[in-house]
Amino acid sequence: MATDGIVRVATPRRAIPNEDPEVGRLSAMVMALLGELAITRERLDTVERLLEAANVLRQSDVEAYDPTGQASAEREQLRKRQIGKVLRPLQVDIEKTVANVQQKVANADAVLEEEVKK
Amino acid sequence: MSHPMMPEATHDERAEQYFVRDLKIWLAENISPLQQKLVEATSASMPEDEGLDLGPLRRKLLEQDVYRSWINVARTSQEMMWDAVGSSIDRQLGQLTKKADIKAPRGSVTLNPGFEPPRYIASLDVHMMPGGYAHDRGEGDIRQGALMDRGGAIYMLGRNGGLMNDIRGQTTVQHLLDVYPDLEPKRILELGCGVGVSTVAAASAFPEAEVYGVDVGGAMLRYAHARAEHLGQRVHFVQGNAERTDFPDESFDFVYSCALLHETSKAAARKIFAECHRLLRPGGVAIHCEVPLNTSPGAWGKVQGDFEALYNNEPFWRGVQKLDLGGLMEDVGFSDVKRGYQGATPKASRSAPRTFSDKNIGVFRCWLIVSARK
Repeated sequence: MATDGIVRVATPRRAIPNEDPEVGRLSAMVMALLGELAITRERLDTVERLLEAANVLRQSDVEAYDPTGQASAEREQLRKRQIGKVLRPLQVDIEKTVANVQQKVANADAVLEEEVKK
Repeated sequence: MSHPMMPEATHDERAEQYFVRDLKIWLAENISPLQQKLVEATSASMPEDEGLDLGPLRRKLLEQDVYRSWINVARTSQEMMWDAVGSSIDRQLGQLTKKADIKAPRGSVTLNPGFEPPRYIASLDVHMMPGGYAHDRGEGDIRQGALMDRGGAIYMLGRNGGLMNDIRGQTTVQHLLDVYPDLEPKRILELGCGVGVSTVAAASAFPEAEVYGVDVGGAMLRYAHARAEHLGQRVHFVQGNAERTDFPDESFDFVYSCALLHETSKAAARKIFAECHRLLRPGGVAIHCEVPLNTSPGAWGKVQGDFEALYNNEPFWRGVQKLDLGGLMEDVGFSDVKRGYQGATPKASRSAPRTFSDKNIGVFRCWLIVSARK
């Protein structure tokens, strides 16, 4: 189906005075993320209910599940990966700042060394 | 209850759409009352002559980050709603377009290729619906109608007749049955019919009548027609301007609008009332149904109106609430104008209890009505 000419953003879309557009964008992204989470949570709920209706498992089985050994280790990796993904922008910025500072220190040291040689 | 033209939703699409609906309700119930307190406190902190003056009040509020966040979040929730519905429609656009191709129609669609919508429609995508009411991609396009139908139904879900979204229309017909029980309309016209949710309500109440709906958008009207046909109703949809249609003088027995006026302007509302008077035969009835808001005269009412105008592209939202609709009806020649509130009814019927009164019992529980006989 041709999708030419479909309008996806309403006009006019006025800027909010005094708002930092970056913060505005971030806020909209967080809300979209909340929406995605709601969809996933609802799908999981559907799956749990269907499994219960089919006598495959009960929701109380899910509550009672206690991962051990291999499962526990794999889950830990999953959690770490997820945290790393979401906090990556912060990590990147801090790394960048640290690199800048180290460079400055290195530059300063180089200047100092030059002076000492003189 | 739904109808065959209504865009369907997969499991995840439905979850997304209901999420946005609940998000909007959550914001209205949990954040708006706090904003009201903030606005009232800010207004009270200002010199007496400034606290209710929108310009200075707006500037003062915009200094506060939480106020800016409220605007952002409220508008984003609206944009998310259209995005959720739009992407779901795009997935099934081919099927919907095919379904809208009616082989032996009972009603019709009449488009006017040279039609120019009025400025208050052309310059704004009302409700932040991308493309607004008038966008049309040409021959066979129904997307804008599908967007409005599903979007509107989701927005009001559980409060205006489910996916039929027709309580407003049923309530307007109920008003006719309650207050003008002798009228047996042969020719009926709805101005600003949109996707025909309220037009179908009248057509089903008066199956013998010749029923027309007028609106501005080609894609909207093609969809409205297909929707009505799938519901077994004979309706003729015509592209035109509610301020001045091409129908002859005194050619209708019943002319009405449902939540049209707040999408127009002060000057346009007067012209629409005059047009109704022109179109009605003597003895015919005009009814206008609007959102029954209790306009807050204070700072909060002003700020809400300001938000609607600036960030939801609804510039006349507050203006229409301040209009003397009854007086306006009299100005254009109607007399014995009725103004009051009609209890919301899911299905108009002659045996239903009479609910028209001067008591506003709240949005979605009743609708504001002005009506008169010519």
